[in-house]
Amino acid sequence: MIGAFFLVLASGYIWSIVGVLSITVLVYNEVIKISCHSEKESTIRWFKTMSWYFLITTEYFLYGESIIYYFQEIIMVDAFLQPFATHHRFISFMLYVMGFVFFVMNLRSGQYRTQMAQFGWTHMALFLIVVQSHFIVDNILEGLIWFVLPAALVVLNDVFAYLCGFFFGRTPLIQLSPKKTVEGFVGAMLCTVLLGFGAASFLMQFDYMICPVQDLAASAWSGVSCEPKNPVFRSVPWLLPAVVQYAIKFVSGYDVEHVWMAPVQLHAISMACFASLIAPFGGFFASAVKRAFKIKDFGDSIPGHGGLTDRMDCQFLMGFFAHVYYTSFIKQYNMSVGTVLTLIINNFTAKQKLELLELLQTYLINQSILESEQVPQSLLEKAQMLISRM
Amino acid sequence: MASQTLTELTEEKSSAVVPTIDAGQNKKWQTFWLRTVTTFMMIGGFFAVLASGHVWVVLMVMAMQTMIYKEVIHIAEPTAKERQLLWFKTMSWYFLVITTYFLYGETIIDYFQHIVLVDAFLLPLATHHRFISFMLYVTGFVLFVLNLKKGLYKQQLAQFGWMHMALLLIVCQSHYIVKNTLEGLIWFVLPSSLVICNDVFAYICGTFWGKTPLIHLSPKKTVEGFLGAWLCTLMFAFLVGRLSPLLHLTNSLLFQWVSLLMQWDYMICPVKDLATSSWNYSHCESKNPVFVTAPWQLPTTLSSLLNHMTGCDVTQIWLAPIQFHAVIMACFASLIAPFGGFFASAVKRAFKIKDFGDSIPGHGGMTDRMDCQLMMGLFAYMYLHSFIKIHDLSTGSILNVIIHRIPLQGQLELLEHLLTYFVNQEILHPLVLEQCGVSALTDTAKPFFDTTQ
Repeated sequence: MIGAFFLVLASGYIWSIVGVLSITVLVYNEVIKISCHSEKESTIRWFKTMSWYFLITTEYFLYGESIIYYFQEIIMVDAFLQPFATHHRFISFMLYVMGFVFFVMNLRSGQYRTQMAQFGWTHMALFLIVVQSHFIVDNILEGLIWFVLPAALVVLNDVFAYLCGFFFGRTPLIQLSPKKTVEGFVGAMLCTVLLGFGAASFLMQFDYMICPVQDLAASAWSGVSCEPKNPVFRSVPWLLPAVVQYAIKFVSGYDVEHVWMAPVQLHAISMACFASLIAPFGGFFASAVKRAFKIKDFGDSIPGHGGLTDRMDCQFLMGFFAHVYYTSFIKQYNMSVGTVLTLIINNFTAKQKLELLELLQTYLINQSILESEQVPQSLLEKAQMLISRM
Repeated sequence: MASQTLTELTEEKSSAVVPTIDAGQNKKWQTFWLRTVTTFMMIGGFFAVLASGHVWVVLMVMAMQTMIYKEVIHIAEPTAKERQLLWFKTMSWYFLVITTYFLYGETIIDYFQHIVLVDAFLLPLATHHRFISFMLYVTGFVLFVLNLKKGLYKQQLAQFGWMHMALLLIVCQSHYIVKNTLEGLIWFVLPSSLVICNDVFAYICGTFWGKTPLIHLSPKKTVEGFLGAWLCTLMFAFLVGRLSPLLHLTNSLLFQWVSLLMQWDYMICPVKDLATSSWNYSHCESKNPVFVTAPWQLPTTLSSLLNHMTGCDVTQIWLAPIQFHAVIMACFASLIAPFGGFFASAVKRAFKIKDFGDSIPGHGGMTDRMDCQLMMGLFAYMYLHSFIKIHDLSTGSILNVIIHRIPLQGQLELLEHLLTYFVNQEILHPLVLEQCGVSALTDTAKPFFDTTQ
């Protein structure tokens, strides 16, 4: 499995995306099968077709959104694709509505409850599996490291939870998974934080990992590079606190004042915390689902490991977290001053421009960057009068 | 949709007029008056809220959404014995609050960027809004998993799923109705009135001509009622875009009452200031061209036909694009939105309940009244954003770009450029360049910026 993972990763963005998509479809399939077990459920007509239809519609919507966002320059100029892009949400909505109407027309007396339950189950599967895995694809498009790092953290956490549990495990952790122990949990967290730090330090050296996608067909051997890199990857010297300096001098005799770190290594630590403390709850949730439906494993696609869902259950939540964390704290949305200035000058009335100036000033004052008592009121009022006279 | 609708005066009259010799006649009259009174109260209340301003309409939609959510969650509530263990009610309220926080936050940030982004306290809440909402959700998720009790897994998971479906179908959909309202009150009034119109005419047409049953889920509906309602709703939609001129043609009391609302600018302008109402609204400068009536050239065959029939020489006809859009919306309201009602009926059958609640006397619960409206609101939003809305640059969105996409040094540069521009245009006094902008950096900020520009 690990070998295949690295091979796919090196083959390029498009193969990684295809890999994630395949895993999504397989996991979705396994989960949908669960609601077809009982006698009553398996006789509902059209259920399988409908669940495939909703899967395709959802994937069309999600991938469309990503493609439109990341490849705007290509899509918007093409005469055939442009209307699909402009009306994408409407098209996706109408596709969903058609599925909904079909579902309602297919309801049969005496089967309402079962059919409703399956409908709800399909939607939950779409959310928890399809939508979350799509965030993983968005991560890939932002830079492979935002796919590899979270996935690696979850895998490391699992492995060390098992190892630490094996050697030191005593107190049970949670009723849902009797094999897990508190010692394993805590030990795994420490190991994951340390190794996550190391993994980030290792991965950030490769341009192939850290550059956002420019060409979908690129692979590890294509020589991908990008400028300017996200500052989160730039190593800067951090001044060590005096206490730590003394400690290091005492222990090793070296005079170490600065340590070179990149912000991404610190982000890796916070991601590692999520991977160890929160992402396992995705696994507990999946265990609860298995208990509720009295099944041992979700499937048997992977020999010795159960189904694909059993392996991937924590990854979805982690991928979602990585995406939200990245877009909130790390992502650079830079535009140049010149572009924005041109937009302002060309597209706004004089009144709006003045409004914008005042807003910008207020913002900078509130951020304590500019002094508040700057322009005498009379000057601004005079400007207003001049503009209203125009 | 449940068999009763808002303005069912005709229904009550016909059922009350039918002579019944038993003592139930008294009860029938009671029910009739009860339903009529509550119907008028609902309609009156609706118009009062509508005239009070955008913010009251939004609050009304929020209140209705909460009531519907409560009714629907109630169905999945555990029996009394298990209730203390399971925290289900608390959990459902928690998820409602965080979902509402997320959705309304997104909308407020979107529409009021010029207020939110400038404020030093609100800005970080806005910038990291999705992350905050996500962590709130994850907290709820973790608490749910920790609260799972052995032997009750299936029930608890079922409740969890039910709650998510309720959040999706009720809270998210009604949020789109709120977004429509912020685009212009007409985008709230038009879709909901189309649904109501369809219900009323479906009943009337069904009563007079109804023969073939439509769908086994709702045995009282007929194909004739369905189709007749469709035609009537289309006509209603076509006329609504031209109500303003129509008002001049008639002096009837009904239209005078309605004319209070048809202060056209109040209805069609997007919200700029939440405190607007029908008494102190501002006019918007650039109206959406969809409201402008323009002459359309009639094809020669049609105009010669009209000439032949009526003797009038009609070569052009004045239409506004909104009439076409209204017709398309009417098609959705008549053909597709009723499936929302059928879905709700199916839910009632599946759980063997007669009505979702009893908040409205004589009409059942809030859900029974609103089930088709939700889907219609979502369609109206999608349609509006895809085909009608003009995505102009606003000062708010540019401000968003400046604050989030340009580093601080660049922001100061931009400020200087703008000041220079205004000085050069002789709108601002040259003194501003000496006193404002980079010259006015606070002492704490000065060391971080290279002021030798």
